[in-house]
Amino acid sequence: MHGHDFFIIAVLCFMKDCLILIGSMTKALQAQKILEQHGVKSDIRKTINSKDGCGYCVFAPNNTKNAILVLQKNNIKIKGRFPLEGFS
Amino acid sequence: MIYLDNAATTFPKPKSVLKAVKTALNDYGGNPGRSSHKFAIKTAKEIYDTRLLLAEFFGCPKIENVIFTPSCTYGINLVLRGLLKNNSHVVISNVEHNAVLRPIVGLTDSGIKFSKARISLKNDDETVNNFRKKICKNTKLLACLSASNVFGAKLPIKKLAKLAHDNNALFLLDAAQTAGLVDINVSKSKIDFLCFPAHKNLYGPMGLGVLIINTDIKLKPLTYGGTGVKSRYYKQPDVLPEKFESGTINVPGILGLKAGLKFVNKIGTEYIFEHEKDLMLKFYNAALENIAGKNIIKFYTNDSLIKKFPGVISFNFKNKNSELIASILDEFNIAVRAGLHCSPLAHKFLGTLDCGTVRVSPCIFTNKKQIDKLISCLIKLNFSQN
Repeated sequence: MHGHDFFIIAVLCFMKDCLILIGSMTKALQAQKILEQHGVKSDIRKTINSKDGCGYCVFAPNNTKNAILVLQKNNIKIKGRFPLEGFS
Repeated sequence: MIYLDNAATTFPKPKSVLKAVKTALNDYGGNPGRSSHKFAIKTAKEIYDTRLLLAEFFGCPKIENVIFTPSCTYGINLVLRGLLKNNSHVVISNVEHNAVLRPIVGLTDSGIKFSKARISLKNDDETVNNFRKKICKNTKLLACLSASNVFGAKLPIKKLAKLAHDNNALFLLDAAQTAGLVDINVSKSKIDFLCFPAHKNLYGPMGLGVLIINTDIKLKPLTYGGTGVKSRYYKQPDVLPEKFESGTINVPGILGLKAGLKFVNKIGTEYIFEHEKDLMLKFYNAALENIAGKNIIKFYTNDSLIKKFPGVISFNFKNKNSELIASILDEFNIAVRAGLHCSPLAHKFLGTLDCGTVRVSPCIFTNKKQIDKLISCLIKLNFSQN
């Protein structure tokens, strides 16, 4: 793991639930499958707020921190996170 | 109708494929990878699951490297045009289908050069050696078919892939005739690019192909447009598979392919192969036995070639145009294909460029009664010639 990744996890420990930006639909579905395999339930949501424009996120209610750890361990790149308020 | 043109497209399709296409139109109408409502995500999940099944079936470690294309030919064009630059050299076999030959010939206008390596029907090492002789310092790619759609010659894929890599080149396999009939594993056989259609031995609908990429080498896309990802950027995103799937993908086709793949998986490629082999050996031996002498009917195959790959058999009646024979068989409600089969190179190899051949190709739904009927029709034709 890189220092940046530790930072994300540290920040998220103190954050509420949020959308975890993955990127394309294919990658988001891959992330969802991995979360499912690790017992983490999640939905696919979309945001237009990423710097790239449209992007697909996974949302694991009440389990964001765990979801991020699972995704990191399984080499799924997390491109950012968005608060639930104001997502599209 | 007795349908023996399965090398063109398999028919009938399994009931599960028909059901899957109907279900796709009724229940999976959301555009996957565009919206985020439940309806779209439901469709996207099915598409993802199909990629997963294909990745498992063909030994591809990365799901995102399974790309849906409008056809096998499109996938081949994508690789050739996306990879080759000015002064690149490609080696192909001397029996390639136009799906490989024509894009390469088209690219010669851009400075691409190519050589044709002669295949050997008796000795795979000779085929490999002939490819080796054509390789030069600019060779970037070896491209070949897995089995000929005209006379079924099967090429030594693993050895050719190794030859390519030993010479710092990549390997493209046109598996139009073999995907679903013969086991193909891109990881074990070290195939860099695998192209195949949904609608032949995978029993899916027409209008869909698949490209599997098993290399980190980047290709330029063939089409550019909306991908549903990184939409703020004017440039085509570099994210797989979306990079190569601009526009809306063929959802009913893909869900049909998923059902076809499950069908093939359930029965097993080995079983299907043995089934077709038994039928084609029966046809070949019965025709030779019952039609007066080898001078009347000429087969462009033999027992050993049929056992290696039973997907197609080509033949001709002496001094009779192949299209005439096919049209007479059509009167008997037997569907075969005649002519050059989009493979002028294969016909040049066989010496049939001027007359073409009549091609018979079975599938899992072909049965012995149908083959018996074909043989009895050919015997009638023979009598009427005599």
